[in-house]
Amino acid sequence: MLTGKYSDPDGGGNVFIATRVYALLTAVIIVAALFYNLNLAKKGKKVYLRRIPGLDALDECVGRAAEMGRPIHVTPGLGGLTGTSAPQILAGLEIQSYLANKCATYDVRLFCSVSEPEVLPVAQEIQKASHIAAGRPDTYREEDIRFLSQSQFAFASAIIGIIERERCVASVMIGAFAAEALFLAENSAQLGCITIGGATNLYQIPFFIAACDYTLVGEEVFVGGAYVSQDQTKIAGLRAQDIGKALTIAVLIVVALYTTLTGDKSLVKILNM
Amino acid sequence: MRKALPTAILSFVATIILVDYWFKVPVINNAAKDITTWVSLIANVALGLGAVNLLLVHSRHIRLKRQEWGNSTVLIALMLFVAVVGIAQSSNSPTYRWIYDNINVPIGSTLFATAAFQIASASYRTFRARNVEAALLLLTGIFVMLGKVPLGEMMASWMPTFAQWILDVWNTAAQRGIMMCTAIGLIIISVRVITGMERGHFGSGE
Repeated sequence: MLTGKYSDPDGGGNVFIATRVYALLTAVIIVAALFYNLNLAKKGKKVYLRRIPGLDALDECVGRAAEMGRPIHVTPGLGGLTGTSAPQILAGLEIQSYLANKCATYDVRLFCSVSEPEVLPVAQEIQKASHIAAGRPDTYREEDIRFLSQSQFAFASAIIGIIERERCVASVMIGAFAAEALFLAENSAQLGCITIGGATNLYQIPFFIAACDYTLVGEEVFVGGAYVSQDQTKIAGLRAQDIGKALTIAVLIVVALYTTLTGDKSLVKILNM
Repeated sequence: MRKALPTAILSFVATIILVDYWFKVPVINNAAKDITTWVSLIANVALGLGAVNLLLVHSRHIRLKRQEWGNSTVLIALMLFVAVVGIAQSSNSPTYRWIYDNINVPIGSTLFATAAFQIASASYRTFRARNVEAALLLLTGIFVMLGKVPLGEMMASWMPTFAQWILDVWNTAAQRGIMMCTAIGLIIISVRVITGMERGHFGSGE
């Protein structure tokens, strides 16, 4: 039964919300670029993908863990499956999925910590499915995937506790992070882990760069799933992303030149809408 | 079916939320409001799941007398105590507030305060002129840090202005570049998840 009460955001009674027209236009262009590139990928067009050392290092982590017989720790960070942090958490879970497959294959123990209870069953399912796919359902341990706390420093210190007690060789922190980023990354490094960090939060990226061995910056966080799978249909999405970036740069150059040369700020006002 | 059904539900719900953002269609708008309420309900139910997971993991630690099992005992005891106080007296009661204000907040603040020492040790490792990029980072760091303290101004009167110029022009330009690219990446990953193209988070072999 529908019980929600809706309030008109801009009044006027029009069906379309006019103040959001440019957001819609941007989304339509990027989505069109995505489907165009997807079509090209299905026809067999290969897309060049530059190397991302942070994602290449995931295999290094698994290799080192297998050699030393010690576990790896991964976390998608502080956030749930709803709200603004959801895409980062999903990107972090993509990385967990890749690591879980590799770890299940090479019999490496993978600890995963989450900060929101609704992420827990998803993370558990990822790990369980990986062990089943690798033909080792008996090596799956439900206790390795843990809900720790919604409080950021309790979450971070609990992770460091796990890394220290279980003597993890690598700490992978790709997803949504806030003030606990430095605490996590620096303590992981002090414990001798290979550290891979990835965040879209502008204030936390410098901390990861300073404290981690490898860092994924901004949009690189979202390419993890496509990069590690090398699936051309997924990589097509990255090409659409690049088209979006090129268009954004072109618009910025045109508007900057026009405004500088004419002194007319009408285009700036339009972009601010 | 294990992946198709969740993807179908996700696509349906996401379409309602997207239409609600751009269009004024009362049925859709009211449905979107309801969905956001359901999200809160599901999240609260999931909290119970999280509590059960904590109890299972830590009771196993205590049973098997694993390393630092005493901490698990304290965690379970405190979790149950706070839950009982919250249920019996509500989360606005003086006892509950006292626990939060005098235990939770100071511990969080203490851990946050250690960030100063951690940034010092992280900087010590990072700010070494191992290559051109690292040398540039080191130089920029020195100028910005000196420009933000009185010593910098004593050394050269232009230091604070130069440091601010680095922050306002170079730093802001790079930050906005990262921000715009992240926004485009967000749109792409959201479309891929909504349309079921990105299914790694369902696990197994993706």
